[in-house]
Amino acid sequence: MTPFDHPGLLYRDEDEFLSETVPFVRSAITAGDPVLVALPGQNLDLLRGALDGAAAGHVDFADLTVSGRNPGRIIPGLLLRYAAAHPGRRVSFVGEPVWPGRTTVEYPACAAHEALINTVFAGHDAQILCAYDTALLATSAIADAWRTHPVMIDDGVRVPSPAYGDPVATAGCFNVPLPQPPAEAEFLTYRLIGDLPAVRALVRRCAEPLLSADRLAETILAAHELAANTIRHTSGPGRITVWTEPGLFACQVDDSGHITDPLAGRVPPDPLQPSGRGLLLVNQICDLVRIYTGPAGTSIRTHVESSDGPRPGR
Amino acid sequence: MGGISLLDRVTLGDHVCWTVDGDAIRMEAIAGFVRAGLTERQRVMYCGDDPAAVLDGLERYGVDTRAALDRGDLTADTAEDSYLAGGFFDPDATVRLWHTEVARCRSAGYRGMRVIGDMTWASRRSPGVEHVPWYEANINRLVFADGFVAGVCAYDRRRFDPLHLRRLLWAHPGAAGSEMPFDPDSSLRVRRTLDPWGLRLSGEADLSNRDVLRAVTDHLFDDHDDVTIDVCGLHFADIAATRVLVGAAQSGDGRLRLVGCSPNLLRLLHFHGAGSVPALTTEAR
Repeated sequence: MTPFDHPGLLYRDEDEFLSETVPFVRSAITAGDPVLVALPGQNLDLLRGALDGAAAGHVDFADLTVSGRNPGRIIPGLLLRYAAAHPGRRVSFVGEPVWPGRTTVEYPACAAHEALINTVFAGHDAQILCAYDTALLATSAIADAWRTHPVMIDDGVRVPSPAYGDPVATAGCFNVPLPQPPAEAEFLTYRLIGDLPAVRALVRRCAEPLLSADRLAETILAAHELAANTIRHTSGPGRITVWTEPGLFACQVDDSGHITDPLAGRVPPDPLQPSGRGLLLVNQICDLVRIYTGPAGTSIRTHVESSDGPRPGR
Repeated sequence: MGGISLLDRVTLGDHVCWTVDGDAIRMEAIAGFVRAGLTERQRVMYCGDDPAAVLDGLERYGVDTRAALDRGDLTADTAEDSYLAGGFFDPDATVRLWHTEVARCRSAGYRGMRVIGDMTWASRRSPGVEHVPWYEANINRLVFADGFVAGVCAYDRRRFDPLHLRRLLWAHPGAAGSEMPFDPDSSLRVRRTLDPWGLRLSGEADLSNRDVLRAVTDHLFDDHDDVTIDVCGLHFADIAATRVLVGAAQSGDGRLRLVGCSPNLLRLLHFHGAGSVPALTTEAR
């Protein structure tokens, strides 16, 4: 088995992007390996167009701004799922989770995701090429790419990253406080299972004008499971705060718990294990899940975008 | 909050845990519940402490108890004459008592039966009280699923350990409290169906009534090995409830068909591996 490979690709323009990604995809095709290209729309079209029809027929494509809108969903929903669908095969991915246009609220979740890929895929027969647009991304994001990738492709040259460190510790650097919810946000304190209907009613009232019926039902379920986790796993009360921003519903749950497993919500638990699926479900449903956790407590913020809302990113 | 409205929406088949902390509100709500039962030609039974005081209280709230008692429309018995009739709490004997009463009500032409159980006896050291949580969870299928009996179990918050009370609460598909009227929309309603054989679930199934759902589904295949659960009226189901449903199909005791699944429930079922359970079929709403 070839060891797991997770290079970060720094590109300045389309030519540089294609000069690395096309050979990466072609060599996987030649080896007969499954390839998933998961990129934001514009680069997805670019790479698809650069592969001739016969080659493209061997590749799976996904618009990352949809399936990877929530960075916490990429590992369980895209990467592990694709790997599980091709057992015993070396799987190859081209991704760009840190696309230009990620907001400051989204960014820490993206960087933590990049770090934790190394932990989840250690020992897997897989390679994941992550593209970074040096022309448009902040220099700090490029510096973080050096911290989250064991090797980098810079100026066409593959070099080991001197900044790469223990991925769990690196992910911990992005465990940072959340911005304050707006002052006018509605909130509710809950303590007992019997308070959960009120939690659901609050979310319904706030999110209903923004979301379709199915999306609303999912959003209520996600908030319910977060609040249920407070009741199941902590002894104190929890607080749920809800508000809307242009094009999205935001919800934050604060409690006294401490999430000690850095992979919580990113890796499906053993099917026989009775609990541990709440966060995974929340990741699957929501468009962003930001977690700030420590011994003093946990804050989890989720976004659910309205279908006609703005979708920043390309 | 006026006491009367607390239990106004309880209908036949409901089984409500009512946590009480004030005697005045308690009496007012009991009177409302009794009056509604008598109006609807249902037989009303009170079982618990101090039936004479309860009858006096009902009189004060305008219930003609004398006439109702004479006609047999109303009964009021002590816990010792009902739950503890054998000198200790025997859940099987208590279920048999309800079955006997149901048969008598049906043959006498009553349209249903309402029971108010004052559960204060369960806070005392009566022998057998340890079976109360099992009993509360299992009468959902043994007594209430037929839709003939409405039951309100009154637990005095001052008499029960809060943690124990919480567990008892989870065994009831519905709840009411001094500032929280019984709300069927946020409760779970479980009704038996004969064609197809199975259950109809409506309302909301979540952590709060997971023990109810488990007690009901544990015995899903007792009489038939092909069972349909109609979940059309289920507005909400969470991970806990979904796991109970998938677990029932995984038991290997029979085949389970879930019909009327919402998109959200289908997603949850899929999330819990429903697709790889051969004994489970799911149908969208």
